[in-house]
Amino acid sequence: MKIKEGFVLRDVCNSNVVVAQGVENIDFNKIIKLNDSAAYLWKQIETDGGSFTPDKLADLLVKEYDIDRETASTDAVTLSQSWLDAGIVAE
Amino acid sequence: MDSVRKEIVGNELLMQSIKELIKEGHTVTLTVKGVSMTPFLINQRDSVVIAPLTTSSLNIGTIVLAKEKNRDRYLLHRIVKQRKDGYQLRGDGNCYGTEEIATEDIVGYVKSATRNKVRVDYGTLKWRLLWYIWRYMLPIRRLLLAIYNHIIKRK
Repeated sequence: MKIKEGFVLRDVCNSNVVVAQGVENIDFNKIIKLNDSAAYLWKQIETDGGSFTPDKLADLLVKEYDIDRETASTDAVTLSQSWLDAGIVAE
Repeated sequence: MDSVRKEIVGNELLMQSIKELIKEGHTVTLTVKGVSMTPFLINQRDSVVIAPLTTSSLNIGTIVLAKEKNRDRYLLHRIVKQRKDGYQLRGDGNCYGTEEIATEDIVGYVKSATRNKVRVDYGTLKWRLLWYIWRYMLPIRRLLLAIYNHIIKRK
């Protein structure tokens, strides 16, 4: 999977929010907010060129947080799906 | 993470973010809070798109998001009068109160409003009609608002 072009993580109202860069409309009714661990993953992917797999996310989670591999994998798959649903990443 | 939640953000924080985003050229969609623009904009039901000011967007009848003069309060009200260094605003739902703003304290203007899921763009015939009719009703606005609120409450 890949972060869609133009989407960046930024601070909006003290929250980690993913927005499209440029002149696009920011709808406060449909804002995509990431929690701390999701924001951590997003930043890691960003610095790594934007491509990722759920497996890679799970690796990062295990490395950064004190959780077992199985939980990390489940979380990574759920997160990838919700990013796909939100339209901020592409297959 | 995958849930849709509604969050209420403090005004100060919100205004700061909106200012930043608008300065970068974004437009911002917000749900309306408060009853001061009733019946043009209904509290918690309608939303507005706030856009960076253009030279042609500052007119009587334009709804602007601006900081009130000498007060730390932001308003989304309509321009009713031009002043030397700013504008006088009035909420459609207000019968008496007006506010003074300086031009540099305008964050942006309402480019379009979504009223009960129907979009109305600034400057269109529908926009002007909604505004003109209401504007000329000002002498009996209080009565109309009272009737309106009565009907809403009975619904």
